[in-house]
Amino acid sequence: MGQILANIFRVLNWLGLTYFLALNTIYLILIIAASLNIGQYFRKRPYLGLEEALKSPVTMPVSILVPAHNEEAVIVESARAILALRYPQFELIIVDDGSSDNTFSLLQEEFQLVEIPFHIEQLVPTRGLTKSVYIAPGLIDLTVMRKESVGQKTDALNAAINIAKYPLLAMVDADAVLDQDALLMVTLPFIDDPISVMATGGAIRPSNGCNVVRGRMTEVGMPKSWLAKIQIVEYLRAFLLGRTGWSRLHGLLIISGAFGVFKKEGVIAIGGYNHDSIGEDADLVARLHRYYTNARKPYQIVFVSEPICWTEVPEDTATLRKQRQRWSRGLAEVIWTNKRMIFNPRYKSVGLLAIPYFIFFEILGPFVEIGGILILAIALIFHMVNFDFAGLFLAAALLYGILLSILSLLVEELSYHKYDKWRYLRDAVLASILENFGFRQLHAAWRIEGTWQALRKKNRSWGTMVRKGYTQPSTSP
Amino acid sequence: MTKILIADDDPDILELVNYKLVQTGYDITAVTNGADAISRAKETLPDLIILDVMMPFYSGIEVTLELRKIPEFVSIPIILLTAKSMELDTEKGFAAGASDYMTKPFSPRELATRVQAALSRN
Amino acid sequence: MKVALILSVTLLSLAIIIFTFLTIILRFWRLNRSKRYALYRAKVRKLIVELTVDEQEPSDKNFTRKLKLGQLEELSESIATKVKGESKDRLVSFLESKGSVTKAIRRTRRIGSIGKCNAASFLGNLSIARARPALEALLGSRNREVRISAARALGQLGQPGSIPALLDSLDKTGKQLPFGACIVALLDIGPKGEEYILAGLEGAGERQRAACAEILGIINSIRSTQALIDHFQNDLSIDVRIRCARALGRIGSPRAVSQLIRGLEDDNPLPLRLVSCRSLGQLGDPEAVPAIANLLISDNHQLLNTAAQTLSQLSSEGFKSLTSLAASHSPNREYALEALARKSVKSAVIEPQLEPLEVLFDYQWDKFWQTYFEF
Repeated sequence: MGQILANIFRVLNWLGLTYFLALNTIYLILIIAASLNIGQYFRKRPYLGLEEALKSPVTMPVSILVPAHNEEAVIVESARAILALRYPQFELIIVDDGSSDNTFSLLQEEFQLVEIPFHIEQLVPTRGLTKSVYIAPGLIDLTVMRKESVGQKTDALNAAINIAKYPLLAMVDADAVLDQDALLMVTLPFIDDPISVMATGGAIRPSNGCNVVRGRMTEVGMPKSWLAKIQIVEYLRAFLLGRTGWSRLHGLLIISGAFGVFKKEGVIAIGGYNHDSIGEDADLVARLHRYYTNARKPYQIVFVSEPICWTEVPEDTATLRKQRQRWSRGLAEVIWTNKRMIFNPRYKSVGLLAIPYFIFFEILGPFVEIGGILILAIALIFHMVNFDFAGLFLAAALLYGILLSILSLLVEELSYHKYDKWRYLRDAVLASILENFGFRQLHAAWRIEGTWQALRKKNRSWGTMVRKGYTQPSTSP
Repeated sequence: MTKILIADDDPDILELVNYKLVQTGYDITAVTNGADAISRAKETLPDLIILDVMMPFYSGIEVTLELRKIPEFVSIPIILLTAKSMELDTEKGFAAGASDYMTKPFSPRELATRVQAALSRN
Repeated sequence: MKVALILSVTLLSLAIIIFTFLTIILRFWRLNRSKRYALYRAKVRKLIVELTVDEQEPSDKNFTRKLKLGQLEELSESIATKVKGESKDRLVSFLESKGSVTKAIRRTRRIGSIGKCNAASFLGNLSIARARPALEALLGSRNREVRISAARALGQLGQPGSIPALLDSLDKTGKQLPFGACIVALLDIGPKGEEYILAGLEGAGERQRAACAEILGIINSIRSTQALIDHFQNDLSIDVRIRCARALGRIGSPRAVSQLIRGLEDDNPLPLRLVSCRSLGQLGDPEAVPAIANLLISDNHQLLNTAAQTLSQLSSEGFKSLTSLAASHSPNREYALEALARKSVKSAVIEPQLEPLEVLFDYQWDKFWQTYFEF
């Protein structure tokens, strides 16, 4: 009996070990792919400057869509900040999705909104009834629509798509802090190649601990809480390098819902956001991939790696847990609905590389991680621990993981160098080590919960996030 | 001595304007962003302000709007520096209360003449 | 087993430590460099500025002789993009005397795309006229960024003679110049290149014709009206036809009205009808009103919206047709109502000829006026 158990452990051990080695090596490859992209920042000047884009007549006008559900803490500042973005022509559409707080009345007061008659063509399906539409007088191109909430962000976005008047759609979260040139930077690929670029997304960084004045980043910083510090390193690694790397391999699958730009014709062609998808951003991109591949049209989905969008991340475990559950549940659902793309050579690197990667590593990863810990625990109970092997396993999983985080920090240092104080560097290094003891295991457990929910299809609604609002700096400097 | 405040985030332009105007004989205060521009303007009460439209924190237009609200700054000439062919910016700038504007790239000599003209008009 | 463990743990820990140190060293190096260069650069910048602004030679001649050429070139280039006229000429002749320009031209022929890009942007920023052949050669480069840099630089040189090369590179399969980059370059050259762009409208490539149509509209080329009308009617590419329609709207020649009205007809593709409608709005000719008003019985949402919005811009004639639609019981009256409301809120002025707006009474005007007067 003991012999059999030992054999099973041995096999499992080897599987786990190879698994983590493979996972981390793939991360390493992605980081290298991304850092090749970063190389262009050593050049003195970008090839197609922002100034040219600003004055170019082929810069496409953009409709910025901001869904808002009980966002009274940030909405006016956000709207002001977005309206002050540097871009030749754009409109701002805010959807008040059944807010029960002062979201709307604050907007009305600030912008002297006037109600107008409206009619809406269902270019993409919506569920909640649109109650009224308001516009701002004068030069400000602002539309506010009030609708009944059905508890879905996707529905608010679809409603906004239906009244957007410009060919490009920018989806922006109400609490996102954008740099003044953010919109220009993220639409540069469209100017470069107006025909085949279908969607672009920007890198997201946590805004916790940064100093934000009137909706603009004035000083990049790090928050006091270690949970948030760990997330900063996590975002650096996963968002920036992961996605830049995937974009380079033409397998970009996720454009963050916090800030992304899409061509309207494409979004309408695929019927807008999928109401029942909880990972609506990934779902949209996956369906774009499918649509354009099936239509045999050449297309590009580009990730812009400049950190230009900042968003508040949860600082308490309860909210973070909900967020991560949603993410992994969303991912699992997206892959399930797009299962026909898996290993389908028609979808090239998306089908052959990106989706398999997400299944084997992003979804399965937490199971292996927690499984490993469980096995270790059982082995300890039965006094059958092979310490050498346990050590090897930990090295492959943890040390390699730390190495990757450190490498990301190095690339960040080489390229954007945003966290410019010594103290921040120290915190980042510490966070990349600490992350592996506690947070990582907890995170794995949350992700398992999320995947489990996806399998059971539980109820879905807007993830509520308690916002501090950013009129005051979130920490004292 | 006539006091002039310049705000631009580009060190080259700051140096160019600074050099030319010091040479002409003005007292120059230079700042590199919109927030500083407002606070320094309140401190030094300059006779003329030159603002770049694109600056960190507050744009030149926003600074103009903000300053025009203050009684001391209602009639002080404000010259905006804008990128070439951003007509919308100049339109918004005038609406905000700017007195004159120049497009980049600019000729330092022309700027000095305009500054002189604006000051004598006042 | 033990060996593997020890080996992997030490290797990984070592790697972690090495990379952590690398990051730290990098930061030290960065801080140190920025400190060291800050003073130095300020000095150099001051000298170049003196040279640029002043009539006489810079005060500290020896200093310029001792400068590192790279630093000098970099700073001069960045200053050159911000000044114009005689100041720029002085800067260029200074760099010529240092031999930097000849060196940059030579660099465009070297291997290495980053070097080529930098050389191209250097030559462009300083507007070196004799660099044109070298830059045109770069348009055929295999590297996309090199092509873009070259196009941009050619635009900065502003020589109409380089237009054919720019247009050709638009349709070269495998070595295409991005559309946006070409447009920017052509725009930089501007109206001087009208002749060449007009010729390019007759070219074989689709992207080339599209670019030419776009540019002709922007530079307001009145003499190309006939050619644009011809292409609007007969071009094989729908993209070119759309761009011609847009250009005709921008140029604003009354001759285009009847053609654009024909562009509204049912058998045309929808995008073309939309653009024709908007262009007619820009032309502002009341003659177009009946034709656009005709679109108001369409069942296409986009067309209805565009037509209503266009009519609201077309003086009193357009307004009248909108108000009469709004007063009717047509299912499309909502479009008219919305267009009228938008127009009034945006301009906050109602046309005086308008009848008392009983047609709009079901809309809360009291609220509107209230806010309007407060505003």
